[in-house]
Amino acid sequence: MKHTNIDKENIIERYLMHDLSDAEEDAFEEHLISCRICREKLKKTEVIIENLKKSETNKVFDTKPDKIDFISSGKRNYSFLKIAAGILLVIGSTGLYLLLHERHNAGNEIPVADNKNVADSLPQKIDRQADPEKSQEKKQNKDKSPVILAENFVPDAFYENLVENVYRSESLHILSPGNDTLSAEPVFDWKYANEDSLKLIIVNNKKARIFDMKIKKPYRLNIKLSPGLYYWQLQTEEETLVTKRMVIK
Amino acid sequence: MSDSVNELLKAFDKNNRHAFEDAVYIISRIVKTWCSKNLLELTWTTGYIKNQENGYLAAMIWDNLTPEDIRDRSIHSVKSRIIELADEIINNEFNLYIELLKINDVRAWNQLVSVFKIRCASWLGDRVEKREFIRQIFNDALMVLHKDFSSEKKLQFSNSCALKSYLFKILENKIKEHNRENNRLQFELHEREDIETFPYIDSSEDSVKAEQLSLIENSIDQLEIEEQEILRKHYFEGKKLKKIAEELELTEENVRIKKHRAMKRIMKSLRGIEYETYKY
Repeated sequence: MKHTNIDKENIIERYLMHDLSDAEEDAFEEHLISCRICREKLKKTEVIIENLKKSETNKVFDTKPDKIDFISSGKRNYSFLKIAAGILLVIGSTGLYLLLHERHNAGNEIPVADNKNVADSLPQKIDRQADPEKSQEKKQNKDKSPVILAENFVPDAFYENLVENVYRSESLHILSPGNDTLSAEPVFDWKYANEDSLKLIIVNNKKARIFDMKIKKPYRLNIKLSPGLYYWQLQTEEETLVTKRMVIK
Repeated sequence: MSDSVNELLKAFDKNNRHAFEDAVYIISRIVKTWCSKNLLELTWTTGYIKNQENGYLAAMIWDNLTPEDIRDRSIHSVKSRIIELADEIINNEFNLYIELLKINDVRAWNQLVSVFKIRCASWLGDRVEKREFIRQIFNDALMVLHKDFSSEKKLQFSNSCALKSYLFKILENKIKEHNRENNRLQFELHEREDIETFPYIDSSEDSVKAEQLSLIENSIDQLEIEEQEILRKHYFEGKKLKKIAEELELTEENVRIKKHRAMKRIMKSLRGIEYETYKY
């Protein structure tokens, strides 16, 4: 068996999927004896396929009742989703354009776009509307892009208030996430009496619920959050234990 | 005719460690392919639960090979000899493994669960309508098996394929039971939570394997949804590309290219891992 044919005919993968004839299989195994490159590639491909199976297995076994799994249900037709997404995109972008245009003309303030300063400026932002001088200062930056991103970082007064004032449970220690500002998916871990599972709620800065599920610690959030400001709460059956904010960069 | 087969002879030289390792790899590869073609579970042997994996078995086979088995032979005849030896060793190992299951060895049960879980995941996904019950059905089936093993019942399995069939049979019954009494069962599931959980359901993996899994999962997440779907259907559900093409309303060639690109991208993202640690 020639080395060039192996890549061309996708022999390695077919070998692993038992898709070769006996003669081809013998020839490939003979080739393996003398070819280190193919051996390495075979090992790698095998690891990938094994882990792919493992990952899918975990998905099948970990399906929770309230989780809608679009990816794993095979017979679904996606076209309606595509159309819906398209329509939303058009409406959204037109609306956004009109909105921004209107604001621009009226000279209203648009939240600052600078990502790096967002975390620092969070606590003051609540007062901004009441403080015209500050908003005048920030106004200079309003043309900086990306403006749309900045909207995701505007604090929500209700939740800011919760974060600052309510910390009911003394016995709860949050181990992770330690920082407000995160660049990777957050891992939630805590120490609270003997409770290993609590309800986690994540809302965005527009109060929309993004995540609401009972989790077991430590829990790595498996949904991708777009950059923005979020609030998260841990709850028992009776009460909210903690409300915190996090900024996804 | 068999220049490259004669390469294996170098491994008989005790000072040539690389040649020995290569030979063991080739043998383990041949055995692995033979086992999976015959639906045998190589991992259900005592070697595996001692964490020595396939290399241990291959080294045992190598010990039983003589230069005459290899010299100037065709790959086919070398393979037949390897498989003949493998068959015998695997049979002994499997019988020992069954004994371990009978005396309730934790590692043996862990190994059984982790392998069987992968084998039946796609099968269960097709048969159980509500996926949230899969875990419970699987759990119940294992409870039955465990009970059978610890009871006086004389269980005998000629090979790992027979054990697997037995398990699938139990699973099938459990699914029937579940479908028949769907509503009642739902109520029961709710009531029974955490009371009767099969103790060996989560086998812990070593850190290298866990790292591989999370790396690959991450790179899969970054693929397009269609590509993910193709990989899942092909490797996990074992569907042929032609069937996938029909299901996704694409041409077969298109599916092949998409799959190839997706695999290439995953492969690229793995470049950082040290593969020397990967045992065969």
